[in-house]
Amino acid sequence: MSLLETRGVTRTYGKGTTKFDALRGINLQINKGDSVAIIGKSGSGKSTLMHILALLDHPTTGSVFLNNEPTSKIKNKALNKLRNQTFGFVFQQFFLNAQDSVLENVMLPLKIAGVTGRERRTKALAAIKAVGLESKVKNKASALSGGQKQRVCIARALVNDPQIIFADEPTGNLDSATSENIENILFKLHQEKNITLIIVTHDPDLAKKCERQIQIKDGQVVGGTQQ
Amino acid sequence: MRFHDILNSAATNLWHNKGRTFLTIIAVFIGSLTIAITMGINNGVNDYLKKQVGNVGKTEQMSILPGSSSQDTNEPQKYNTKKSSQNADGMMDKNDVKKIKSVKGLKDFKALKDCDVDYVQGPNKTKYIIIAQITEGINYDLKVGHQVATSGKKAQILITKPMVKSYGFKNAQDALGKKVTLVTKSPVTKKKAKISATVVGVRNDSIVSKGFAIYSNGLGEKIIAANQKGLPHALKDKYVSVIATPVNKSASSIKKVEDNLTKKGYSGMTLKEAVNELFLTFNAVTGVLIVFGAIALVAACFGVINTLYMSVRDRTKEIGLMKALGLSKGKVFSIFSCEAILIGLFGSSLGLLLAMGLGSAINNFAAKSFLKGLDGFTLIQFNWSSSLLIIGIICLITFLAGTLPAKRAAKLDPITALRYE
Ligand SMILES: Nc1ncnc2c1ncn2[C@@H]1O[C@H](COP(=O)(O)OP(=O)(O)OP(=O)(O)O)[C@@H](O)[C@H]1O
Ligand SMILES: [Mg+2]
Repeated sequence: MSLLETRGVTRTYGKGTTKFDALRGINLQINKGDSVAIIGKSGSGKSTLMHILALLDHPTTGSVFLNNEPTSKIKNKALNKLRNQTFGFVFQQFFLNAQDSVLENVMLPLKIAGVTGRERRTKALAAIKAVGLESKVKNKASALSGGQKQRVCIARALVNDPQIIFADEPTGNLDSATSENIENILFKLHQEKNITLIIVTHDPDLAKKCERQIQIKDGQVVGGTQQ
Repeated sequence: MRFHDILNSAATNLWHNKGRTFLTIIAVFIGSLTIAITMGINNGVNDYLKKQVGNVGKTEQMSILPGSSSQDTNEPQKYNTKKSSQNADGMMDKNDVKKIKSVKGLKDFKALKDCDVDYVQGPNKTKYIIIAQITEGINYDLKVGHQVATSGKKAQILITKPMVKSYGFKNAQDALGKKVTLVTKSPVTKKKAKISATVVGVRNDSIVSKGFAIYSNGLGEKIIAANQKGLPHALKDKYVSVIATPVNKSASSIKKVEDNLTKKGYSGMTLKEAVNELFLTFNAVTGVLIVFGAIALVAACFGVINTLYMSVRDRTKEIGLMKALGLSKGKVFSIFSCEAILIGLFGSSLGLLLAMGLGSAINNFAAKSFLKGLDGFTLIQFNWSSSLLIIGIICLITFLAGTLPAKRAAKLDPITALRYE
């Protein structure tokens, strides 16, 4: 069953002489429960594609379909709800609020959703436990190691029980042991909760663990596998 | 996002940038302080006026005198029918009264004659000169007793507090019902006449007819009769003033009546205007303060705008993240508006608190110096409604100033914001 689909998606940055086509006609389909790796060289347009799939950005031309409905028709309010409750994001940089505690950071999506009190705390603590950071709940985000920060990001992404997790280079800056740990967490979620995973990476090992790879070069799909 | 989370986010951010927040608050604080003091003075003055004039009734009653143009200049004045040397002495005759009565928009005319009294004697027989006037029919502020009769033949008098002791009464209560003797003489016959009057009340210190004793209508008539004994008939019609009531009590129509009187060579002023004139100095002070406060608030607005732009810049990534996580434009706008309002709230409350402190210090000083003798005049006063109004207005101003940066934050595109370095 098609969860996300793109038809002839392009994305052009800038105007005039600085005009740059980051994506040039992307057609692809991602099914519910898939685990997909988007691979390619730096600057090939992976992050741009992921942002468009995650409805954080709009294609210049072409269209994106979510559950076979064109996403251009989604109203702002519904879009905010999707971002908050259906999608989970792990960004290339961590984007944690350095001054806040781990708990506060993980609670952020719940805060935005308007969840309060005990429910908010319980859910956040459960997510923190899922990534094995129980001992750091009260620590400031700035006082964590890179791997721990990334785990906080994953906890934040899964705290609202999303259907899809988008992860942009989740193991980009981490050593192999830590990477493995992060990968295990993600694939465990994929298997246990049937969460669709869309992972941008240039790590071939991580890509191999996904059921499918989509290779991007200069803004176009140049190859990939379908298992 | 719930309201308390929005508030929390705003407050936390203000707290994280303590120095910046503090500096912005100072400008708001100064504006609020000066405006609160101004309001305090206004309250104090109004409260005093209410005490003094509020129960007087008939504050729109107008007293009409000959035009004062002859005293305004040292140059000899050209003669015309409106301006003769005869009425330069401040007295009016029958013709004047007739002319005044012809002015439209006035009713209930009463021409008051002069009553000259040589001296007055109380129980201790000491002779005192007296400044007094016939009742204008208003309610004088009394410590004890009741008002004098405005018609009829009863000879009654209201005396002032200092007169009580000097005339030889034990206290104000003791004076009630007792007699004083007024001695007057006719300028023609030079014969003395003794008129006795009953004290029916003792006046409080007041800015209305300050220091004047008040005669009843009957007492006034008796004194005038004694004054005019032997005077040729034509000279008897000398009036000091005419009192009248405007038909329409709105400020604009009263102004019109006064303009018409001026054209005819007279000047009219209502009791209210006369009292307000006494407070011109305070109005000048509050005027300067208001201007100062307004300037401080304008400066504060720029401070708030600047601070919030800095805050939006600092938090660009955070805003991008929150928007990516589904926070709506409206909520982002609220977070920054909240920050602005909190600055306004802290600044204005602090300003108000200091104004209250300063106010009581100034009041203490004033009571011992320049307001000595004005009973019941507390210069600076605060009340809940106007204090809350000031806080409310300042919060509104800071909110409005904050809308510019808050709008910019709300419009941020999440991806651009996340890429922001
Ligand atoms: N806001 C922007 N304005 C102009 N050009 C942009 C903008 N964002 C991205 N680009 C360009 O688009 C291209 C694709 O960028 P993108 O971030 O998608 O690359 P990527 O594949 O994720 O690379 P990396 O692996 O280094 O993260 C790059 O050449 C980049 O310079
Ligand atoms: Mg990238």
